[in-house]
Amino acid sequence: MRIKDKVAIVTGAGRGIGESIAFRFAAEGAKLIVNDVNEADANRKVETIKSKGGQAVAVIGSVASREVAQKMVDTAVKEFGTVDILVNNAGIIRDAMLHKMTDEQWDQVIEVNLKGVFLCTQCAAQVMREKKYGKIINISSSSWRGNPGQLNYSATKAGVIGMTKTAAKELGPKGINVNVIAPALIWTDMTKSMPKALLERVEQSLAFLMPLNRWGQPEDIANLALFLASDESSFITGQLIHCDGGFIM
Amino acid sequence: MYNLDGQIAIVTGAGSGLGRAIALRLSQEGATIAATDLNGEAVKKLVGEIKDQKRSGLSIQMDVSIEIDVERTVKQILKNFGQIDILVNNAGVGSAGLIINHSEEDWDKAMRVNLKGTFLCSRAVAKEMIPRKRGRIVNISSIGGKSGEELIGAYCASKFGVIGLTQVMAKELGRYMITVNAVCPGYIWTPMWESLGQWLKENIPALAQLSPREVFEKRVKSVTPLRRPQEPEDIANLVAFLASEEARNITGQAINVDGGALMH
Repeated sequence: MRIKDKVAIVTGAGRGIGESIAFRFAAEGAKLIVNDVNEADANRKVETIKSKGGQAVAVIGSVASREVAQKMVDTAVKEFGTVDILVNNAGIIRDAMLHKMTDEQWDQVIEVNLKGVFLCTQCAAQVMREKKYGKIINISSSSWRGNPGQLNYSATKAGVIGMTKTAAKELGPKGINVNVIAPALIWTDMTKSMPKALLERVEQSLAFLMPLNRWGQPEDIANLALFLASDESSFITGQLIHCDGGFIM
Repeated sequence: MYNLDGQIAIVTGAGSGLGRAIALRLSQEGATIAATDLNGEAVKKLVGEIKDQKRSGLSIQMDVSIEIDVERTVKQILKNFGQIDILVNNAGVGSAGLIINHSEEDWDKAMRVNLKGTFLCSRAVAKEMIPRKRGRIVNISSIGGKSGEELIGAYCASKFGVIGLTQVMAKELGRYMITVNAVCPGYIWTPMWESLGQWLKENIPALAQLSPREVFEKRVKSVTPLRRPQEPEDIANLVAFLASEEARNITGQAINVDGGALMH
């Protein structure tokens, strides 16, 4: 058990990458705060973790709310005594080409993907700095290098990288590691919701896009998140690691 | 932690420092180690330790920069073990001095060992990995391979080259399920730093009273958010992860293990 008895908050853990991270962390001995906007999804994850002998509590709500972010941390401290690990995974897309993007599409994505990371990081770091230990793992995306249709999403995913480095510099002297993972094509509800024509084009050019020529699985991201959450990576901080079959080098 | 039972790992420059730590870690994970070094005695000693821990290994004196040496060694490893699963290109040399004072041999040596050595070993081993459609190649570069530093010009140029080579090989070998990544250590106290510390102390009045080691540690602390120098185990930890099944979707990357000294 590589993170035995560590207390981890995973946002957006109701499905996809977040779910996979939460499950893997629980399997490796961590106690989980499972956050999601979808109550049913979050509760199902908690039940699954418990049924396998793990410990987990759900905290429902959007990361874009300071109240919810603080509640995650307060719940972790109340139920499990502390916060060791935070995975800022919750994220949304509202895709549109630049000339058609609405204010609402822009604002919503900035709120969840950027402000949400700020709020959760600030709340969790309060606990982590007291004990001079913590692991913060942010989820970016290959979109940060530019992706048509994702002006808003790419801005937030590049923004998260900047935030990671700043947080790493500020919190490093306090013994807190902050790193960021950039997935690309991972097979989840988010990618499954791509327009069919686009999905087909991706399938056809998979070998050209990625040397490893395969869709990534949520477990691939969970594997790396676990490495970054464990003490194996204690000297790694402020780093962006692409976990994407070689899509970006 | 990662279960590398039954896998054969080559680690070059395993006689000391990072190479030694990497070899011991991979051995702990269950891999059989083919340890090479210019210093045959050093790897003989290392493999002795590995065998004391009831695990398998083979020591070979080898110069990574000599083609026939590399070819001969790979043949010998295959004869002993039948396969190669992991290659860690760790053997490397430093260079110290301003570019205007680098000799041709300073330049050639860094290129020969650090870059050409990585090429020769990777070429020989990749050919054996391709038919098996599996493999892991980990190249030890440096943060100096991403950001040039004064006084280590040839070293930096060669380490930049290692990252370029890493990306090319990742693209060429991905279709055979072989991942190729680079690990970039940060500041480590080595003979190269001894010369650097000496130069800095001679040229910066504020540092004159300090020993080269103290100069090094002062520098490291001031640029490292985690405020401590690294241990060889920090590097070995990442190499073990990249060599494992856990990292199957990571390729073509150059990852810094440096306490945050460099963040790109």
